[in-house]
Amino acid sequence: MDETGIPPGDSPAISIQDLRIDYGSHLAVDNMSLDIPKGVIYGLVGPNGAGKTSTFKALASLLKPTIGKIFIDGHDILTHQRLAQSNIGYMPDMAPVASDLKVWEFLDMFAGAHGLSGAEKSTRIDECIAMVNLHSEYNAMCHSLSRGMMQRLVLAKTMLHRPRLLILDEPASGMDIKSRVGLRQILRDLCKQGSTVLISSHILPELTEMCDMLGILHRGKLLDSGTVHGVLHRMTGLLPEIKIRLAVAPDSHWKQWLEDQKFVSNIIGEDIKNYSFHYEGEDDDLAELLQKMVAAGYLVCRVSENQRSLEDILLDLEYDGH
Amino acid sequence: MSDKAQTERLKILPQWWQLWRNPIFHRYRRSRLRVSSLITGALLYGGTSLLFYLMALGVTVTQTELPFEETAVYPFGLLVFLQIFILNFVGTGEVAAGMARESVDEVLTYQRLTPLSPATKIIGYLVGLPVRQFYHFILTVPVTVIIITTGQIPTEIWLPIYAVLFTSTLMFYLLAMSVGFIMGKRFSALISQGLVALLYFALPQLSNFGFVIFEYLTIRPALFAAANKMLPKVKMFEHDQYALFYHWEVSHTIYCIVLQCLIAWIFYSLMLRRWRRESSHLLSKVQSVAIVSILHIITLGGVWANTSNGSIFDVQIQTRNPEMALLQQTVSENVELIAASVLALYGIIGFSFAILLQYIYTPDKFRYIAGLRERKNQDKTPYAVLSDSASGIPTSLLITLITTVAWLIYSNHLSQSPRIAEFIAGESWLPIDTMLIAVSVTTLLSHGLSLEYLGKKLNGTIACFTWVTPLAVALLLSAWSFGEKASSFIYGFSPLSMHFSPGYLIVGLHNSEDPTLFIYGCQVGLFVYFSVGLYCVIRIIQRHKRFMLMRESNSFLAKN
Repeated sequence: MDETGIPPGDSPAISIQDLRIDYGSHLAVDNMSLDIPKGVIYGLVGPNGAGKTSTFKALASLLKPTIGKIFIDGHDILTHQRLAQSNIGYMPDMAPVASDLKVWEFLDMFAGAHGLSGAEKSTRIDECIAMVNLHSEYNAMCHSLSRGMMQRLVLAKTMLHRPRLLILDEPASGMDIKSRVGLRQILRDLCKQGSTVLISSHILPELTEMCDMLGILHRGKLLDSGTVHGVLHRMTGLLPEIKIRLAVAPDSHWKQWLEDQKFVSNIIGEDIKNYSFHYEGEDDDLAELLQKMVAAGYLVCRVSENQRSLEDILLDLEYDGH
Repeated sequence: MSDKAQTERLKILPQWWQLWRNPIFHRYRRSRLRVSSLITGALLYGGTSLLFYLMALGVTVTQTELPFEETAVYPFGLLVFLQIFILNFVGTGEVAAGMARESVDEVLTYQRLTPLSPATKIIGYLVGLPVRQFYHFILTVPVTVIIITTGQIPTEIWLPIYAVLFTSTLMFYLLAMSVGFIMGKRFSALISQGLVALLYFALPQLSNFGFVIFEYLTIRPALFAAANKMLPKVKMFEHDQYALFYHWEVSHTIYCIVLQCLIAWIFYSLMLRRWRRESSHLLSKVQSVAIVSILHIITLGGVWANTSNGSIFDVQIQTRNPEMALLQQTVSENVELIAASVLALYGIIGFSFAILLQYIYTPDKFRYIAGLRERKNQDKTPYAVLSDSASGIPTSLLITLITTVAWLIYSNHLSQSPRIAEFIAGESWLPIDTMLIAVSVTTLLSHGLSLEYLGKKLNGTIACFTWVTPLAVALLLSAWSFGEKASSFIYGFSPLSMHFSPGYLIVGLHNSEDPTLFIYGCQVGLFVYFSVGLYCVIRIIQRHKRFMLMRESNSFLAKN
């Protein structure tokens, strides 16, 4: 298994091959190739005009790419459009609602359009309304909802037909903190059930925390893609700095012991109990290292990470022109 | 959910004919037929229809000694007008506005993503958007049934009216859906209602020149035929019993229904293509050729018999104004003037069809290049013919050929019409046909080529300017006595006025005075448009070659 996380022989949830999207003379997406494994939350980030929405629209088969192929669960979306559509839940940026309908009527229409009927339809509508916490607005007119509520309603609509791939373009915009936490939980649960989530957001710290994988898009080009740590590492050119605080002062072998561990370099002792070091490994490796420390008698009571953020990367892209 | 389960679910999705399961229809049934709407509609339209009935009944009972069977025609007529107003005018606006709103609000995007078939979606909107108007119509039905039964209005009167009312409603709703869906502007409702008004009141005037096709796009022929049967003494409703299509006698109702269904099918095709793929052209190249052929067959069919029997030369203007009466007499005596106008009108109608279609099927340069890239990527030949991104030049050639041949056929049919044959009296028709071919081929091809080279916006702007400016300048010059000759010459520059040149030659057949200034103007104009077309075709070829060269160098770089 490589950094894409796709086991050999298994088709990825999304496979994009040489994607190019033109709007007249403007090149929106340039030769993008990307594989996203099943069951992950993948964040696509980039400055405005990077090509995120165009990519999302092409994935949702709303836009025909100039060239390139897109496979959802191994199906070419151009030749198996209806099957692909039934597997996709797409939530556009500034998601609109039908203002002349009630909340339940809005969901009922889309449930019907996805082939749900009878008791299954009613149950699923109730489930989705409960998931996004909109029970109290069940009979409210859509136009009376706040922006955040509308976002939640559209999220419910997107999940109605249990899609295996959710494409969410700025889903958290307009949501309050409670709803955003709720959204994160919903997405986590969906991933556990095997769904794949492709998301873009301007709330970058939240995105790094929520996503398993990241892709950085700039002027239509995919600059990097992989695990969050890997991307941040490669994009900043700096190794993440891990800070630890030991419960008791270590013995004299401590520094040597730490230096001997894999992925560790540049150890600095700030005082007798606080140390920092650069770390090249992934989250799993770090967990293993911490376990080893405890087993070796070095009790860790606090761990923190200091790294250049995604915001810094995007600011660099916007101002430096990359 | 597994692929198998998803495939099973696709199988149970509502089909286009299962209206009771159509979620889009139910969406509008719910939102447009809430209790308040039901009550208001019942009071307004139920009350109005009842009022019409009671008024007629009251007048019959109190003021005349006539039985209701004889006066029933009046409330029936009023009700039919109310129903036309509800279905054709209000309904059309409602469909266009609703569709535009869905498009502007982007709710349509969600519908695109549902796995319902495009036909199911179209039917859902077609029946759902005007559901309130259907309810209002249904409210008028009980009173209509009472009037028909008590007034003993025969089936052959009311059945054709309602048959044509429903087909015209279908046609107008599909027109409105197309306008709302494609334009996606909030004022689409106004545009659609404007188009309905144009179809109802302006275009049918062309039937005075023999182009009856435009009259049959409305319910008017069916209404007039029914009114003629019910009120035979009223001169206004005098009407031939049959319509003529080439030499066949066709019932007015059948003619209306077939024509309206055909136009409805064209709009349905537009919608279907756009539902399947938002970026698709409204019509494919094959559909464009088929449509232009069918439109010419129908237009020719309508004007054919009127030309053969000479009825297009009978100018009938109801007037008491002595000057107008004199003008009518002068025109009637000069058959060549009528022949010239009808021939020019046919040319302009054909030109309009072709230009409209050129705007639909011609790709802009970006799309053309995108098509080349796509085909390169798929290792296909770069010379596609039928795809949307393929060059529109072959299709333009074909459509130009069809348009020119149709115009030529009509021109020769006109020359064999007894009154014109008498007028020609042995003179050659060849110069007229030659001018006709030159005008049709040059204007259509140069426009098609410049459209492909310059793109829709730039070409549209330049075309408007070059078509209208010569007319405006010539009009201004003609106001001064010294500018008359120059104005005749400049009139010839515009492709619109060029279509009058074959007719102008008919008028000049027996005119010893040399009527060449306008014709010289046309010839200069034709030369200019021919040069423009030639320039555009060279530039298009160069553009294609440049891309191919780039493609080869890229392949070379990739290999090395």
